[in-house]
Amino acid sequence: MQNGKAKPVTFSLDFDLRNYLWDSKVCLACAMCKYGDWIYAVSPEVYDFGWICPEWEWGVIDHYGTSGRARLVNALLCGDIEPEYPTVKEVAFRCHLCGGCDMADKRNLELEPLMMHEALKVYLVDRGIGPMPEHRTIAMRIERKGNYFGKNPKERMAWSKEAGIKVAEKADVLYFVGCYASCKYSEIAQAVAKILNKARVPFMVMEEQGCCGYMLFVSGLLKEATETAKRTVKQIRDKEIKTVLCDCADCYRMLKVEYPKMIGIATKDLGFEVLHIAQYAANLIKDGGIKPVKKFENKVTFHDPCGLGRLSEPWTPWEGIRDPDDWGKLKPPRNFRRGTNGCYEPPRDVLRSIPGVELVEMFRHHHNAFCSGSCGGVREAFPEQQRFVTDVRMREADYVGANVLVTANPRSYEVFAESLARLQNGGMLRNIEEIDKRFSGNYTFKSLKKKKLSLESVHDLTVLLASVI
Amino acid sequence: MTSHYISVEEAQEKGKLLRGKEYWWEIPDEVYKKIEKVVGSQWVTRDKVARLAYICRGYNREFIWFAGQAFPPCCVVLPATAEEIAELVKIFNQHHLPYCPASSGWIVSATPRFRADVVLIDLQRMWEWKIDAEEMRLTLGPGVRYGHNAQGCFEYDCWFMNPGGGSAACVIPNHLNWGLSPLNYRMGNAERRIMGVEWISPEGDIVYMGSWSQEEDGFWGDSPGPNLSGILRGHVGQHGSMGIVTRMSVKIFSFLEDTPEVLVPEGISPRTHLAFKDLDKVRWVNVQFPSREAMQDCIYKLSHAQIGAAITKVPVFWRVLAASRDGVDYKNTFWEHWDKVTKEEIDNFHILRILICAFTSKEQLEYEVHVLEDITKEFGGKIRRTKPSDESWLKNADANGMWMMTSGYVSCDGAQESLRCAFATGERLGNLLFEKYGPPVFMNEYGDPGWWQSNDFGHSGYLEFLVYMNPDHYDPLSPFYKEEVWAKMLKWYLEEVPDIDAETGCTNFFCADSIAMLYQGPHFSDYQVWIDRFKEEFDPRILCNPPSPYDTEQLAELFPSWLKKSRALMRRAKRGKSTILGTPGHQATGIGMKGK
Repeated sequence: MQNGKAKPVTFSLDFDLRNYLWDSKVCLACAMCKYGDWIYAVSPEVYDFGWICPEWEWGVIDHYGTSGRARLVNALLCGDIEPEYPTVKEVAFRCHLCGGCDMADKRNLELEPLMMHEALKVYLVDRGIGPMPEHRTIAMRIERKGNYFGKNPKERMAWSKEAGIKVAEKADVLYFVGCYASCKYSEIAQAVAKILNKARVPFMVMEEQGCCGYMLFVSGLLKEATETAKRTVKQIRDKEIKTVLCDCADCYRMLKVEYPKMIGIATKDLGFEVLHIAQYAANLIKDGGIKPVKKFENKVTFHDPCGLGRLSEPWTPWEGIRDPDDWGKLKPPRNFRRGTNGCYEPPRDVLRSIPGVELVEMFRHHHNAFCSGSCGGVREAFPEQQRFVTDVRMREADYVGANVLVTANPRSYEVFAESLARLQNGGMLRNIEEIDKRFSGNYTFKSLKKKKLSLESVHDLTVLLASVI
Repeated sequence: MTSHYISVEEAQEKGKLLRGKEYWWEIPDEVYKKIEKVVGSQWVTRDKVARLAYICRGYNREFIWFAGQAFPPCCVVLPATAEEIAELVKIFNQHHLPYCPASSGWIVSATPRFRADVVLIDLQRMWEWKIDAEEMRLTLGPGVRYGHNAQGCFEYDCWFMNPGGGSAACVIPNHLNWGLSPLNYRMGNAERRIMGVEWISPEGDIVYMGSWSQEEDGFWGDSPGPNLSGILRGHVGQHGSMGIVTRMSVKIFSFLEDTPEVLVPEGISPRTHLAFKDLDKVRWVNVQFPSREAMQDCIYKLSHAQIGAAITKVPVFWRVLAASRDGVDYKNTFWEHWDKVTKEEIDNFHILRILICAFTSKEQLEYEVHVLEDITKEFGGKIRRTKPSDESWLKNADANGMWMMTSGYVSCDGAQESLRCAFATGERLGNLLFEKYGPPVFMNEYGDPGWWQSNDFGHSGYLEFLVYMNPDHYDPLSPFYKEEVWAKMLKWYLEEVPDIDAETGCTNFFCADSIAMLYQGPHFSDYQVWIDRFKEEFDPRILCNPPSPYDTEQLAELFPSWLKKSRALMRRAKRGKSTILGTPGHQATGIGMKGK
């Protein structure tokens, strides 16, 4: 068909779906993207706690997972299916963009499934096929009011007017207040302030700060998300900030990884450091800046938010060739982000420092954590999928014997809190039945035999820490 | 724009030429409604996006998908019980609709090939896993994968083999296929550990084999009357085309005391491993030998001494592959090391890995280590530092990592032979590859003789010979496709490898369903005639997973004309049952239906 005379073309690791034709063809459908790292595989008796892909666990049929989507991408790029085909959009936007597949794939191979999923959403939006209507609604709220909730932007910093909170006019540390902390869970913002005040760390806020743009990004609205990124980075640079602190794992990921990706620079070239309050607080505890003193006598398990864990490695842009006459080597070599250096231990260090806490791990933890269900715009567009996923995660926390679940992402906290209320009021049996119908044929997993919830409460890590120092 | 991009128009044009037939085939409404009635509308779909997900998985990629012969199924159905499957099979028979059962889909025959009118039966919902640790057996459904199975067994202080084919493979089909792993050393082949079988015949009957044929208890693999399990075999049998196994009971083995506390998952990707927390209970031992002959002789002696739980010699490039995971870009890191290797180094590098386990006590492990030291010393072996962990045999088998170095891989020889035959065949293949088939056709292996292991305490040896290719050169849709490379690859697989097998007397089971040299012809008592007779008896219309077993004469027509020797041999093998090229009433564009 050819005679091998074509020359390789320079390409980038960006949002052009055509860059992932190779990945779509090299995918072997080995199922690591379904189940995660085999070293951490669970027993068949608790199979429902053994998936890494939340969408796939919900949908079961293979197009609901990465290998199915790789085949879809291949078919789109080779003209075997039209992008307007109805389920193309549904399948693309059901992806949580949690990165479980990406981490698992990169243990043994070098594909970019997460980039491929992000590029697929952008591809559909560019053609007027996406995003989902619910995402458009939120995008309009963000555009008009500068926050996810559509609340009055002048009230974004209302939490800071509480008595006892000291915010500096100017400081090296900027507290980037997430939409959740400013508009819904003001106790999170107040907790951050309390921790920093207690440690005598001067910090400032930006009155003009808007949404980080997470929902724009995960909806494939790349143009809008990039504008937000450029604007926010300029705002921060103009104030000569050295450290940006986030209370939300999604904001953290956006500022640290996705902003540089969209702008076309490396994380190290942002000009400021981005940290999550969990990392900052862990260092404060280590250095003696704060000390947890009140007891919290509970069996606690920590849910690793994707944005704080496996997705938080710094971004480095890449451009080069894949050399067909040298075994497909990338030239120059690419720095593959595998989730190895995500922020896993600092939140655990914080929890371990609290008197009375007994830390237990879920089956899926650290780089292998299961999604809370809250990410990727799935909650907004496919609430029944999100509910199912979150309930599975809660049942996992319950099954390992924890009576408290802690996380470091307000969006995850919200879905967990709702799930807790649901599971305590009959939702447990519903989720068990749903799993049973999906998988167990003539057999019931051990994990489905526990019908009563022992889990008592859900906490945000920052709020918990502020309450014990 | 990616360096591998071709335009949609070009892809369509080339795709059509390769396929020679329509890509999509739509199942008639009447049949679809019948399927819906059996499994429920939630568990059947003819949505195109869903169908695409089942094209080409695992080992299919190189020779089926790239050749343009992977097609989306006409619909995907996910049954939950054997009764549902039996009903479905009857429907398919009634309407002459071919079907393909798949669990993980990892093996070549678990995906529609050569035709678009196949129903894909996804068995992953059929979940069962019941362990009896005291009587050491396990009952399971087709959805269970080895990785999960391993952990489940560990939690009962039991274990079973984990195949080289990967933790992603499902237990039932891999056991039926053959079931090969270094752990076969002590456990024997997995297929011999099959006991009860629940089978849906191609006629839609539910048949029970082993002691299940008599009673509820799946304890025993035999029962009165002929043992039918042979006709379900994979590599040396029907290649997944004889009905559907929906349940199986298998023998498992007792393992270490408090296994989950001894084998602890640790690490963050990519450096994850099972840490050995008590080296008095389990350890790998690496032994380096002064010569290949010394290592080979030592394997015999160790095996006859019946010590250890696995004895294996891996290709050197696997060791380099494992070390490459320290680099930020594995492929480049691998090649930085591999490009510096010489044949002399490979000729002088002989490391054997032995797994030692304290099945009874730490004194037993110590005793075995002493025996190991004594025996290896006899052959000049030196024990080397060994990591106190397992990355890829006990629970995680990194089969998908095989593709990392060049993004294209296949094993061209897989055989259970005497150890001597396995050694000799591997050496011949390694030398020929080095002398005549290096880059750009295959990665240079510098004469490495492949992967060996001792099975059944040395009764047999396993050889697997892996070769690595560059998909840029053999994917016809790649802008860098080189026909001469593809031609040499074919020559290697279809002529060179079988020639060496014939010389050394090695019975290679890979591709036994398609290569005429393997288990076919007068030398093998015209075994293919028996395969065809069983197929004719149970599935005369060849609806179950066509075109397995392959009609080699038709297959010969698909190969290039210059492959004269292979084509001639295939024609002599005399098979004529499958429908690769299609016959009236069995074509991919429209299969005949009663009354239509």
